[in-house]
Amino acid sequence: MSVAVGLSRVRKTFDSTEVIHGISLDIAHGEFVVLVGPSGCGKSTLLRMIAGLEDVTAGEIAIDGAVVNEVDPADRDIAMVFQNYALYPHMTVRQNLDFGLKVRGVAAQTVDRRLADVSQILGLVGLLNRYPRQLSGGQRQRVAMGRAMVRNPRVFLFDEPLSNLDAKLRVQMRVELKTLHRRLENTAIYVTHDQVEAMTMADRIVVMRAGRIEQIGAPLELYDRPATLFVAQFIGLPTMNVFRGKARPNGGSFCMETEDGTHLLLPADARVEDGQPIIVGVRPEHLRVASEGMHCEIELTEPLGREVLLYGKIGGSPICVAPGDRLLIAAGAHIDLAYRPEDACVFDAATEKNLRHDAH
Amino acid sequence: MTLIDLHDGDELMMVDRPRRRRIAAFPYLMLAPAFLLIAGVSFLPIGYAIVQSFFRSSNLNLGRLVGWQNYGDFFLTRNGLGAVANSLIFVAGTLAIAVPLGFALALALNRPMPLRGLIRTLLILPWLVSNLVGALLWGWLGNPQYGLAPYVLEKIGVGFPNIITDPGAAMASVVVASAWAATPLVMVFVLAALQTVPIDLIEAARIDGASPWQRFWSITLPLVRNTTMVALVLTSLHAFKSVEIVLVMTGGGPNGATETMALKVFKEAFTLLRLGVGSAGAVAIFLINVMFTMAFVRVLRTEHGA
Repeated sequence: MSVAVGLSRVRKTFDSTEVIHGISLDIAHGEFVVLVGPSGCGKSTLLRMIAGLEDVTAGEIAIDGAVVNEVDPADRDIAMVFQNYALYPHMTVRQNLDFGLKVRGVAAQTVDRRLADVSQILGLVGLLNRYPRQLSGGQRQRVAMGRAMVRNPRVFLFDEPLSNLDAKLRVQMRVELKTLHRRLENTAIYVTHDQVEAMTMADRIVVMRAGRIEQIGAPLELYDRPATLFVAQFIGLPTMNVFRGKARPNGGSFCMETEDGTHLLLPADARVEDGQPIIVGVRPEHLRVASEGMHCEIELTEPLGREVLLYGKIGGSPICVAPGDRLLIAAGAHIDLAYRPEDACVFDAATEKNLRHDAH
Repeated sequence: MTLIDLHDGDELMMVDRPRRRRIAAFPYLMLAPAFLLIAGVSFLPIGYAIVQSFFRSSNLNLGRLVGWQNYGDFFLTRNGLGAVANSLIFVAGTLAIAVPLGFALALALNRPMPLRGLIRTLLILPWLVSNLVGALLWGWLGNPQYGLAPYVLEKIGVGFPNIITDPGAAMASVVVASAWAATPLVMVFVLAALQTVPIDLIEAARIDGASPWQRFWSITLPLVRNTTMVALVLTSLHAFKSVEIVLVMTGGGPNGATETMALKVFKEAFTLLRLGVGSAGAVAIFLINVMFTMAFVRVLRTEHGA
C-alpha cells in the first residue's frame, strides 16, 4: 500500500485542552476514508489539520511521504469541500470554479479545458454564469465539488458536505459522490457524524471518540466485529441492543445472567470468566421471534414499509427487533425472542472492549 | 356589510367595506404624531427655505419675490464658485483620508489582539466628540502662536506651515480635522462588514491557493464593498453640509480659501442677514445631496439585481 496521507502521533491542543490525543493513521492512494464520530470527537479538527487550516501541536502529517506540518494549505495540493459549501457569493459559478486555477497562474487554455471537463461531469454546463444564490442546494453542492475537482488535487477533503441537504438529496448526492470517486480514483478523506454516510461511502471507516481512534476498518467489518461497545452502538441503525449482566458457566461454555434472572447465550469464543460483569450486544436483525426464548412485551411498532420494527423491553432493557418482514404483531403483544449466539457481541462492562476471539 | 354586484359576472361578493377602511387608517393614525413632529422640525423648514430662496428677505418674513436671483447671487458673488470648489476639495480630502484610514483600522481591529475592545472604544471617540470640540482641539493643536504641533516641529527643526495665513495649510488643517472626525464612522461600518465575511470563504481561498493579498482583493474587499460605499456616502454627505469645523478653525479664511458652500450659507444667512441667498445655497446643498444619494441607491440596486 502506498501511503497518500500519513498521520503519526498527531496531537492538537487548544489553549491548554488537548482535543486530539496522538492519532496515527495511514491512508492509501485512491482510498475513500471516512472519519466518523459524534460531534466534538475531533474529526473536523483532524481534517482541518490535514488541510493546514489548524496547526499541529505535536506529531507529523505527511502527504505523499513529505511532512507538511509547516506547509501552507495552498501548497499541500489538497482541495476541501466545506459543510456550507463556502462558495464565493459575489462570483459566478464559472469564477468560483476557476478561481483556484487563476490565482495559481494556470494558463487560460488549461483553465478552459479543465472547466469544461468538470462542468460536463457535474452537469454544471448550463449554470456557469449564475451566482451561487441562484442555485439550489444540490447545485451548490456540485459547484463546491467542482471547485475541488477542477484543480485535480492529490487529496480531497470533505467536511460534512451533505449535512445541509434534505434527506432525499443527501441520498442522491451520496451516490453521485461515490460514483465520482470511483471514476476519479483520488484519495478522499470524508468527515461526517452520520454513520449511514460512513457505511455507504467508505472503503475504510475511522470511528473517533473524544479525540482518539476507536476503531479502523471496512464498513461491514466494523458492523460485524466492533472492537468496542461505542463502535457497536454508533454503527448500525437501529442501534444494537445491549443487555447487562454477569458471566455464568453454562455447561461447557458461558452464558450471561441479567439482574432480573434472564439468561442470554454467549458465543463459544467469548473470553469471559465466571462472575465477570459483561455486556451482550445483539443487532436488531439478529433477534427473531421464537416459540421459546427471552420474554418480551412489544410496546411500539414502527412500520417502515419493507419491514415493521418492533420496540419493547426484555427484563428492564429496551430492545428493538428488525424482523426483515411485516410481522403481524401489534403493540401490547407478548412474544419470545431468540438469537444465534454466534451473532452476538460480548463486551467487558468495565473496559467496554469486545471479548470475542475474532474481534479486533 | 355591502353587497357588490359584479357587472361582468353573475356572482355576488360580500365585502365588509367600512371595517376594512378603518383598519387601513389605523397605521396612519399611529404614525401621525411622529410624522407631524418630523414635518414640524424638518419638512416645514425645508419647504420654507425653498420658498424663501426665491425672495429677498433679511429676516424670517418673506420679502420681495426675486425669482432665481438669490441662486445667482449665491454662486456668482462673494467667492461663490470658490466655495463650490472648496466644498469639493474639503469633501474629497475628507474621503481620501477617512476611507483608507478607517478601512485600515477596521482590518487591523478585525484581527485578534490584546486590548482589542479598549482600542476599538478609543478609536471611536473622535466620532462621539462634537465636531465643534474636535475643531477647537485641532485649531489649538496647529495654532501658529501657541499650538503644540508648530512648537514641537520647529524645535526639532522641521517647519510647520501657518494654518491661519497659508491658504493651502489652512485647507489641509480643516480636511485633517474633518477626516479625524469621520474616520471612526468608516471604521465601524467596515469592521461590522468584515465580521460578516464567513471565515469559510477565506479558508476556501487559502486552500484554493490565494495569497493574503489575493484573498483580500478577491474575497474580502468585494464582500465589504457595499457597506464601505454606504460609509463613504454618509461621510461625504456629512462633510458636504458640515459648517462647524471650518467655522471654528479658519472662519473660511484666509481670504475665503477654506470657505465651503455650507459655511457660505451660514455667513450669508446669519452674518450678512441675506436669508434669501443663504436659503438658495442651503437648497442647492440639499439638492446636490439628494441627487448624490439617489445615484448611489441606483448603483447599489443595479448591483443587487445582477
